[in-house]
Amino acid sequence: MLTPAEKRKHAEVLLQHDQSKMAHAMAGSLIAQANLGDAITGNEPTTADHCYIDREYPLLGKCRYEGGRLVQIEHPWANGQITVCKQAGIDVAFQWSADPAAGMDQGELLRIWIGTKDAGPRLQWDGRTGKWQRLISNGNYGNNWACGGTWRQDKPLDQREPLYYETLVEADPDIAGTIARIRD
Amino acid sequence: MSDEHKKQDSPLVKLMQARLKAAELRVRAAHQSSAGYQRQAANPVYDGQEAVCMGKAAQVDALSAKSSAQADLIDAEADAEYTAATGKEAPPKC
Repeated sequence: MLTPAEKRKHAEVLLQHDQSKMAHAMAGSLIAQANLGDAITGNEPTTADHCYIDREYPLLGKCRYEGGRLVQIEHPWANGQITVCKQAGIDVAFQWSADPAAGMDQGELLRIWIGTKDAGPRLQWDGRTGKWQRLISNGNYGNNWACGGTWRQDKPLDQREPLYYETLVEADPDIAGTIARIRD
Repeated sequence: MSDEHKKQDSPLVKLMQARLKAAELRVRAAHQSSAGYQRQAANPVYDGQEAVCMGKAAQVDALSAKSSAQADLIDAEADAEYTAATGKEAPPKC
């Protein structure tokens, strides 16, 4: 939960990078929330020096945001590592929320896909549940091994719900081991 | 009446509540974007799609303008109520 002063800072940083109509409307909403909070408590309106939001993600570790923008990643997944991963037959794709309409959730990681050269998309992490699930590709992934083409969730024939895994190691120890070696 | 309740009913809090409502309407107005329809109208995939999409874009633009106008009205009414209650001009928005 952000303080009114932090909400004002978030709005200020948001508008430094984005001048769209949505960014202006969202910043206005945050400032209005902050003003209402200060009016109720009787505090003088102020703006914080920083408004950091910390989130923790698989593979990337601790990520720090300001104004909906990533300012720090514990394990930066740089292009070099992706190249090494691809040489090992594994591709990783990250889907980020870039829309200011997401408000305080702007910039958060929505999904991670991991695929192999031989089998296409194999694993998906969902930001809403924070869990991994296995995928089976229909084979039409082309050069996009991580998330190309179409796929289905891997689940036992006698079950309606797919299986969810708390960690990448539980979902696929082989892929997790290879990625951990390259990342660390 | 407790101090807390007095604060909740104060003209300043009422003004800020109205401004928050207006700001949320402006977020809704920003969501009501016709950009997608306009893009599709520029690249029609069947005869007549351009006209259909331009019509839809006009409808969405009208909804957006209505939301913005409602927000402006709420702001203006809240400022007037604050001035009537306190005899002072409403504080600036930022």
